[in-house]
Amino acid sequence: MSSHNKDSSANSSPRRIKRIMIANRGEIALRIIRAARDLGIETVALYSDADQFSLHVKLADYSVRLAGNTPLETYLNVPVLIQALKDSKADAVHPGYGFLSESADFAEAVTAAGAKFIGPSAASMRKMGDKIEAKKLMKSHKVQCVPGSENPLKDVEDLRRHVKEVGFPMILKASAGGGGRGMRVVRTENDLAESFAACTREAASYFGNPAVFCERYIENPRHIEVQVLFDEHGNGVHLFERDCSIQRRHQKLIEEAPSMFLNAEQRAEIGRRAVVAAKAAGYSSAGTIEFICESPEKIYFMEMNTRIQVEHTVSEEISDIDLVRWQILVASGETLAFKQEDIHLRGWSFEARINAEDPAKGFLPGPGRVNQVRFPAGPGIRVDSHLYAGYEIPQFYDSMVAKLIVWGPTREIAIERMLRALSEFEIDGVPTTSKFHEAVLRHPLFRAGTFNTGFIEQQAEYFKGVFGTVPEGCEDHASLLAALLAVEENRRPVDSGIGGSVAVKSERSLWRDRARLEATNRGGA
Amino acid sequence: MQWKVSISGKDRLVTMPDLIPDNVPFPASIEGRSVQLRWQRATRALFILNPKVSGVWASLNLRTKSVNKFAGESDLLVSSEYLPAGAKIPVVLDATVSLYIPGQETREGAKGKKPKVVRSQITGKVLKVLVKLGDSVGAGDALLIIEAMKMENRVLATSPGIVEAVKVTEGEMVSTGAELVRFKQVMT
Repeated sequence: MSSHNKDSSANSSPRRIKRIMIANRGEIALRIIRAARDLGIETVALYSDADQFSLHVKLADYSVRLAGNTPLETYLNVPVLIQALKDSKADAVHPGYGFLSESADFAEAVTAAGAKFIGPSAASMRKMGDKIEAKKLMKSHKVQCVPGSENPLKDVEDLRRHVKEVGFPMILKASAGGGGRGMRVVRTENDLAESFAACTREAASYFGNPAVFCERYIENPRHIEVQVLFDEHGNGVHLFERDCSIQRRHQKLIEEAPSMFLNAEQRAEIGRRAVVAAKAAGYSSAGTIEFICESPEKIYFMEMNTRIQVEHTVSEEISDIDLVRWQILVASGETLAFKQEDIHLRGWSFEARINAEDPAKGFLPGPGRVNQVRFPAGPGIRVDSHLYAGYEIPQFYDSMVAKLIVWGPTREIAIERMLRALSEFEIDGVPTTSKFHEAVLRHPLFRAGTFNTGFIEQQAEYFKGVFGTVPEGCEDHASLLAALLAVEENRRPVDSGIGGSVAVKSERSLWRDRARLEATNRGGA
Repeated sequence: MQWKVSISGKDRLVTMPDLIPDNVPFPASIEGRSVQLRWQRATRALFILNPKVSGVWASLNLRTKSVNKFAGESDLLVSSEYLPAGAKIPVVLDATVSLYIPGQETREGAKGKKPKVVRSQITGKVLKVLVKLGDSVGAGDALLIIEAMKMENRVLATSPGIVEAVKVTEGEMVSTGAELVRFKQVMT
């Protein structure tokens, strides 16, 4: 898709970045490498043992191994990362999303090591990254928030004390959490203890901070967030809103920009509020203000994500601004080359998160080897993915393996393009969420734009009906295909017995062997 | 070789050659009717010749396929998503495929009570084992928690039974298809 002339950086940067270390993995590591390469900046990839064959290691200029596999041993291990930073002589660190992207301690450690952290200052991360602190700040700036506990919960007893004012249902959230992880909805008194324990455990394990708070749970709201971009000189803009209401267990699956929920006036208002909120935090770099919407009139501040987000892509498509590029430019000390009035909303964009999960089996994750992959292409299609044929999806990290992003001049055209792209998207070897996306995209309520975060649960019956069904008239062809795949599966080269390097042409069918065996058994019985 | 393909509870008999040639037409049959097929391995497309119009092939484009076979069980579980000719939305196929040998079914039916086995549907780490030897569990009861891809996944019992053996311990890594819990048959 087209790049934007607003991205030109005429003014010379006071602090030129020469080499960026990427403290992340997967598709976002590739996204950062691409932005850096566009700017002529070198990159350093980090990789756990399970990630040694990952694409980001190949595409980066340099790479450093992080021994071990679990996030705590590797991508969350601050001392090891800082050592890698020193060893690789990188002068900046991009944290991506997840992992340490919202850790003010990490940002400070990077600064202390003499490198630039590509993101906001540690101070504004502390203000906004910590969900509890952020709510306090917003209240002081008269931005409406959801009622809940003002401080981290000490224990279950402390949580019980909040039940009266917050009520049921309530939601427990990891104060340091994000990306839909570390959250639990509690509906009855009986579930308090177990949910609190589970939430605290997840918070400690995934975010390195066990602090948990509670707030009123707004049943089936609309999840709308605003992308902001600020430089270090106090200039800031918003890049309109994203609607991320299609979620499952607080995990976003399809995002779109703009939102059908808001009219032009409401769009301008929510954008204005987001800029006020970011300014209050003394923010710089790309960030997101998340809102919970009961109705277009009742919009509450929920939290700020002080990092680039998975779904930043749809904002890029509708605003024509390369956000990761601008994160790097802002970190170099540059001034934004555009003002709010220079940014125009163009068309519509969707992102579908392709996860290695089986939607027909309750989104059961399916790590494993990707035998074959083919990306869709054509007008309006963008794929951000680290997949390649032969790639082994590790079981230690997130299940997202690709982001399919489409752009169209209208919402209808964008949906049709998404369906077309999904039908072309080939990932073999692991289950994916593709068929779920197709089911959503052809649902009349989704088409009409009347949905909320409860959509997937409300439409459970509809989804049950669309998985694992072969339409009438297709059964014969489907049967032929199934039998053919069964035969193909058992096509194996004959072991020559002289080691693996010999190319063997002859093949035997294991099925023939089995049939022979069966016949022998029957004869003998 | 003959195959019994079961889709949505309905069986069909399919004949396939032992080895499928690459991109060369070959004969097959379904329910006794002959068909011409062509399989293009590189692009993973199955072409089916239209019996009414010579020279016109319908194409089935594969998006995914997975074939699962568990040790000691003769059925293959074939899952695939493919775009059939003339369709806009891919078909989701879940089929059970087994080698068709006349007389086999009666022999298997006579084998009788097999111990029930719960297998892992994912690769991950056993976080918690919630049952022990001799426990009586009901359908829907949680047996274990397996952690994979940052999620805690509960493994539930699909039918009631008495635990005969727990095959894994907490902290252990398990792969897809690994035996987790074995049940004694419950007499009703």
